[in-house]
Amino acid sequence: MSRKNLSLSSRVLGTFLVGALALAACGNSGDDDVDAADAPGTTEAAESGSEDSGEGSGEFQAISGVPGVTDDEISFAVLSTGESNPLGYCLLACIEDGVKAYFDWRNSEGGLHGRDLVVSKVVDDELGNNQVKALELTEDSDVFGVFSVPLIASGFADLASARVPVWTNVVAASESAGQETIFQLSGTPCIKCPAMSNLYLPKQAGATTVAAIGYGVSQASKDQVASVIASVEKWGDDAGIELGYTNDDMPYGLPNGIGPEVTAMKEAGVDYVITAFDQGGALALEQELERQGMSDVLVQLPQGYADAEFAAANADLLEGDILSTYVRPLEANPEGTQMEHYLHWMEERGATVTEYSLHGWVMADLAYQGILAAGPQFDREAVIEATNQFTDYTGGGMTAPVDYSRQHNPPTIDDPVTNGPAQRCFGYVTITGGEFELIGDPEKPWTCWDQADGEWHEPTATNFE
Amino acid sequence: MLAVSVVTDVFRAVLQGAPPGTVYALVALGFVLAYKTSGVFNLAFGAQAYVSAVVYFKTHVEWGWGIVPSLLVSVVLLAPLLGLLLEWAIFRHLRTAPPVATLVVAIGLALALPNIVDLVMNFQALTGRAPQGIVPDGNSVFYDPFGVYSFSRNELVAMGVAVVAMASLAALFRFSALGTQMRAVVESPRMTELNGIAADRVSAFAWALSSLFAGLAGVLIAPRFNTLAPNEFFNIVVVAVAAAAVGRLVSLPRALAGGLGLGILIALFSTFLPRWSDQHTWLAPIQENVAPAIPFLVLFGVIVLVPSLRREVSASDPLAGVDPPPVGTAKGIEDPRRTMITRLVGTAVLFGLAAVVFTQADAVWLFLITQTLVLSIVFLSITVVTGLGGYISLCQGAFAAIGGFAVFQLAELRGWPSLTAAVAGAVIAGIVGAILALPIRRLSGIWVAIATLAFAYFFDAVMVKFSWVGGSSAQAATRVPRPLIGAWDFASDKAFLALVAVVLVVVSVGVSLLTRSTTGRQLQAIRGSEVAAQSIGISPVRTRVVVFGISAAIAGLGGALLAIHQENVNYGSNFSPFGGLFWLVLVVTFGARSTGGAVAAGAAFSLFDRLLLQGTALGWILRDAERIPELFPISPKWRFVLFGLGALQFARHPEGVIDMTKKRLLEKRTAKAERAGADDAGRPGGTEGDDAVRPVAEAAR
Repeated sequence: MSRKNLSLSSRVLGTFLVGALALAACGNSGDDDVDAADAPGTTEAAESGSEDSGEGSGEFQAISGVPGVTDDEISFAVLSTGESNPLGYCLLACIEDGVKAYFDWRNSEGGLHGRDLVVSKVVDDELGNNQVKALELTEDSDVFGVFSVPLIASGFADLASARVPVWTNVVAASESAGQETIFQLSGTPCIKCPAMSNLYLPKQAGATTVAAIGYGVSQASKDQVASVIASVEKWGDDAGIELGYTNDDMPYGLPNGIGPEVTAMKEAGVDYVITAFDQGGALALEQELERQGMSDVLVQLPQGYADAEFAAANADLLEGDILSTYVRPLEANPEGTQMEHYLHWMEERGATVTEYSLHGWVMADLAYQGILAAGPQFDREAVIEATNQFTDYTGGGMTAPVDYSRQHNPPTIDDPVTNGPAQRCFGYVTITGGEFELIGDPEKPWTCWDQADGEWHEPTATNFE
Repeated sequence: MLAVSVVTDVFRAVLQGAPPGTVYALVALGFVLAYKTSGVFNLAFGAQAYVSAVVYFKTHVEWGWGIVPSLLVSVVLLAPLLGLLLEWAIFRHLRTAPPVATLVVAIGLALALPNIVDLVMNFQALTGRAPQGIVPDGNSVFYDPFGVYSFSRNELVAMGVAVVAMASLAALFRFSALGTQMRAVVESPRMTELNGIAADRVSAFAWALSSLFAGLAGVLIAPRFNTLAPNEFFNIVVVAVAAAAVGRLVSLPRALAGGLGLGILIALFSTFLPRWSDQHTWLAPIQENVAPAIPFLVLFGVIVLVPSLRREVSASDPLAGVDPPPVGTAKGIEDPRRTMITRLVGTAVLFGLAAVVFTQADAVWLFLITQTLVLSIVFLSITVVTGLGGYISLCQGAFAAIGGFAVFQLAELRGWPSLTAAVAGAVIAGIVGAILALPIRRLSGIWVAIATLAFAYFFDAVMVKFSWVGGSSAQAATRVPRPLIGAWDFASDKAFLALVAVVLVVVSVGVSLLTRSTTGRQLQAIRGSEVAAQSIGISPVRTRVVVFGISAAIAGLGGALLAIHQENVNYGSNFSPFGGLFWLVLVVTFGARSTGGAVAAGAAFSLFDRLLLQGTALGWILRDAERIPELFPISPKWRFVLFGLGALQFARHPEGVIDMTKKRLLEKRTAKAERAGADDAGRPGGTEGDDAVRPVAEAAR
């Protein structure tokens, strides 16, 4: 199968991702075709989604002594890595955009419990100062909770000790593990566990020999390569996929190039490469594949989804490449989900649509639903408790279902079920002509595998409205 | 058939190694050029290259200028101007400074310059927006001259420039009078001037030339990076030093060959090691762990094994050659009575501050002050190795990380008491430091610095990944418990602060005792004259091993306490090699020869951001945080700019800011006392001066 002819009707291709590649292993639980109204898992929270009456959700009651809460506002902080991000992608500003866009939407409808939702603090942790910045937030005690996606989450333990609710994605999986006050978008993942998705996409693409390659400096990257190896060992025969080449020790930045490694792939007959690189590393790999006459080899990119500028600027190199996402693909039919609101309110703010702003939006929704579920006399503990009762949270169709009552700890290779998702779901896109294109049915953009059965099986195309 | 296949594979690996080898060669050539024309071991070469690369990227990619105008501005215009500025403002005044002093200045510039250009150009790296070369479609059009492996346009241009540059620069030095003059100025500026040559002008031209080359190299190598980041440029320089060292920093052809050879060597290893390790499983660990560190192993190997480098004798520090080395300059003119009073007042203030901290400080201040004290312990290791021993060690971060990881391994995973684990970590780090000192025992100052830098990078690339060092998740889950000693639980921040304060006092006293001990005096003797010291039975090798061991042990203890303090090793944010450079810069800025310098450096590292850059101190002065101007918070990059530039004074004032300031205050006071004495003498009944003042005035003179 040529990369340019990759069948979009083949519903799903896919795999994982890096940094955010934790998502490859992260799971989502729930039933197929869940309606958005039921998504949050608690009835009252779920209903809030359809309560957009203009008077806001919930009921106002005066409360005191709750950090960041006044009669008029509920204040939050965004804590992330800003201008010091050496990886060069937008984190702090994009998370902030997504959260603020969500708050704009909710505030336009009257807010929550009679109060406006505001981001009162935007904190750049300067890469190495996450712990100090987290302590400053706990000490000031003037925000209700924190939206945080740092590169080095050294302050998560302090935020957890202070019982400050934290909403994050999956980049800080290790620091979030076991913390009931920290809510990851997809639950805590097991990155190195085998995943059928690692083999399904190559199989759909007609590939037979895969390569997995990642950085030695990043444990997440190494774990991702380990996941591919474990997947082939477990289901390779069933899927008709064999391992052609693996390398989890590439130096970050690829200062010595990647020529010998690609030559080894070529000699091994690799026709599908799963990368655990950042966007820049993936570009270097693409260039080397092209140089060595392997431009038809399919590549799965770990990062870069919804970065339209990235896709457009490198259109030729990225043509046919595949990306996975654990938030609803922008290219799916937005009807009946919060995606409609997301796109509208991002445009209202004049903000750029990015993967991380999508994460920010869903994190804000989870905060909103938690506070709503806690009731008008809410405080941090009540919100933490309420959120931890969400068993099918989908963020209004923006994510696959998460069960926060049991997904704070990562599943293990031996036991992927107890703390793992009932289903592992991904959205997949490919890059065509410098633009992202959904792989699969726009009405059913999620590709899900049932986790209870460890036997190899085909996924189900699903929608969470 | 098999032989043909192997030959083809080798040839392909050679070709594949050529592009990265060209990058190393370009930087090595620039490095040699800078050394030959300025005598400076210019670790800021990468920073200079970064400046031009950023300006080129900004003008060409972001502002849409054409290739030619962008190149003219970023390389032809800006780069030589930067070189002229550096020469005029800094290096002209350091021509006779010892190499180690200029090395520290270069490290300061390596930290400051990238941040300055980032701030001035409002530049931020963006992933996926790869830098572009100086030819259209440089990364996407390929040529395959041998039918084995193709080269991109960018790579061919870089290779061409490297060869032409090598040839023309070699010709310049060999055949032109200017080349000879440039070398002469490095050798002896005074003698050159006596021969009627304007040394300043020649030196300025030399800096402009080497900076031009740095700019060109920066623009040429930038397309190989995924994102423009100063760390990447610095890392390339570290590797390129190995290539430059092959030719003892003076041979351009050897630098070119060294750079290419390094790239090819890495490609050969990357080609054949995986195959061999499939057949011989014992090779697998080498393939997985050693291969990424080949550049640093080569660098270390070249430094240690090349005989000419071992034999090279140069001044090891700014105070070398003075027999005996002087104590801190301020000490010579201190008034003992006034010193005693100052110390008493200082102690009282210290206790007052401690009382305020323990009763008033919130969690953030407790965290920062504890971090100040912990880092002060780490920085005392620099006091020992640099202030006392006279060596520049750039791997103190690795030693500290050993302590941190030891606590993680022993306390968190094996249940040892945390403090016991910390002491064990110190011992392990001390042993590693002593062992490291053995192969570098005969190296001179600069090469000690580079060898330690190579070790820091080796530790970063290889050791951290081992499960018995960094655990299964080196970057994240290396949690560390707080200590419990009998009934004393140091889990609370205040209790731990008190413990750290005690440890700091103990280590400080230990360092002071070391200075006055036999070992300390032996070190002073060696710094004064190694030959003379040997003649009276002092072993330089043994002394160097001891000082490295002690220094590493202190760093290990500090690193262990830092991990305990943060309850996590946090290797990435605490102990990276690049971060270790900042440590050194801070300590030498404040004073590497006193415990006060170490503590001030610890305070600057921990408190500067919150107190000054965030405007907290200004808020205190204004007595209202709301009145802090919107200018605040100031970008944290200013921290690197200010302290990077602060290191510039090291060459002229190796005693550091604290001692220098103290000395100036004392001189002023003495001058004032002298004037008062003179006035008294002129008055009827006046004396010829205060008896207490006179000796001080004499000492100051």
